[in-house]
Amino acid sequence: MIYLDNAATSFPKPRPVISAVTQVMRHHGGNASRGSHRLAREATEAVYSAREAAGELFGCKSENVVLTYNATHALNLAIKGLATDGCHILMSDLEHNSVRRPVIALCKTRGCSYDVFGSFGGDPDLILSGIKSLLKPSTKLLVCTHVSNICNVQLPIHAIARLCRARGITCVIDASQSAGHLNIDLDSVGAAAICMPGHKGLYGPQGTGLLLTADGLETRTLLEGGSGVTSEDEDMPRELPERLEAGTMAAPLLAGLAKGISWVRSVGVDTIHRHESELSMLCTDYFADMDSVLLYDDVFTNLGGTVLFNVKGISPARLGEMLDREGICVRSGLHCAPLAHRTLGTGENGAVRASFGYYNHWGDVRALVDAVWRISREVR
Amino acid sequence: MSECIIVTRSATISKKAERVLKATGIPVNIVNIDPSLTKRGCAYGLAVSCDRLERALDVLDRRRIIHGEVIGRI
Repeated sequence: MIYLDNAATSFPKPRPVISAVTQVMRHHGGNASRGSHRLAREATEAVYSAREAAGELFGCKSENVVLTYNATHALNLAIKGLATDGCHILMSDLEHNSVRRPVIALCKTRGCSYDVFGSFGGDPDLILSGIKSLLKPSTKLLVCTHVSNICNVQLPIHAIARLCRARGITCVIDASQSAGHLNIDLDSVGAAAICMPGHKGLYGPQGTGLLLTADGLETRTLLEGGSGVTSEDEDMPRELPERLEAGTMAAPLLAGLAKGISWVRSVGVDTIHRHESELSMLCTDYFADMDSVLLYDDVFTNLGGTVLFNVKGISPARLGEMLDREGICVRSGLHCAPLAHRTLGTGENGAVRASFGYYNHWGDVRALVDAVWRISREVR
Repeated sequence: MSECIIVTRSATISKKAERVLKATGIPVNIVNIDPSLTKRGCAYGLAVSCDRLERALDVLDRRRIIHGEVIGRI
C-alpha cells in the first residue's frame, strides 16, 4: 500500500507518537486539569507537554497555545470569536471550507459580509493590491490560508498580516498545510491567530489541533462548559487558553501530538519540506512527459509536497478508484475546497491530489507514475 | 515548616510556574484550592515552603507569570 494522501492526514505516524498515546491511556488516564490526584496530575502534564512543544516550535508562550480537536475547530473558534457583528470579512480564493463555511455562516447569522481576494499564484504584489482594492471601513477580519490544500501556492502571510495590523484588521491564518512543512513563528508573522491541525504536518494523532493566539487577544467563546477553574463564574475564564477549552481535554492524543512535534523538530522542518518537494518535482517531471496528464500547478516555482492532476478521458473519481485498486491512496474530487478548484480551473469534478509526506520515497513516485501511465493507456 | 499557596489563574499557568520554580531550585507542588477560599470557584495553587515564598514570588514576577493572592496551608 502506498499512501499519498498526507494533505488529508499524515500516515504513518512516528512510533513515539503511538507509544505516547497508548502510554497515557494505559497509565495516566485521569482527567487533565480536573483535580489534584496523581492520575489527574499526570494527565495534566501530558496536556501541558503538547502546549510546551507547540510553544517551542512556533516561538510562543504556552499560554498562547489553545488546544483544539482539529484545524476546523481552531478556525471556527478564531473566525467566530474574533469577528464583530456586521463586519466585512476578506478571504482568499484558495480557502478550504473550514474557512469559507464559518465565514458564510457569520454572514447568515450575524449580519457580516465578505469578499474574496485573488491569490494570483502567490504573487505578493498582486495579492496585496487585490486586498487593498477590497478594503472597506467595515473590514475587520481577514482570514487566509498559508499554503493551499490542493496545490503548493503560498500566500505572503507576513506581508498580509502587516497590512492588516496597519489597517486595524484582525488577521487569522490557516496553517493547515504549512505547519510542520514551513517555519512559522507566531510573533514574526504578526497575525492575531494561527490555526492548524495536529494530525497533518505535525504528525500527531487525529483529534488534535492548535490555535496560536497573539498576546491580549479578546475573543467570544464558541463552546461553554467545564474549565476546571473559576467554576462559580457564569462565563468561561477570562484568560486564554482555558477560555477557549471547554470540557475534557484529550490527554492521550495530546501526548501523542507533543511527540509528533518533537519528532518534526528532530528531523527538521526544512528537511521535511525539501524531501516532500523533491518527490513532487520528480512526480511532476514524469507527468509532464505524459500527453494525457493535465497538471494545475508549477511545483518548480511553488515548492511543496502536493501534485494536482487529471488524466484525459477519465473522471477524477474513477481514476482515484483505479489507483486504489493498485494499492495507491490518493484523494479525488474537490478536496473540500471548491473555491480553490475554481481558481485553478480543474472543472466541476475537481482533480486527483497526490500529497507526499516524509515517509514517502522515490519508489512511491515511480509506482504512482507507472500506474497513471497504465490507466491512461487503458482509457485511450 | 509551613506551606504557603500562591493562587494561579489556570492549570496552564500552574504548570508553567511549576516548571520555572523547579528549574530555579524551589520545590513546588500544584494543589487544588477549595472554592470557598477564592472569589471565583475552583482554582489551582502552587504550594511552596513559606520560607521560600518571597523568592518564589520574585521568580514568578521576573518571568512575568501572573499569579493571584497568597494563602496559608489549607
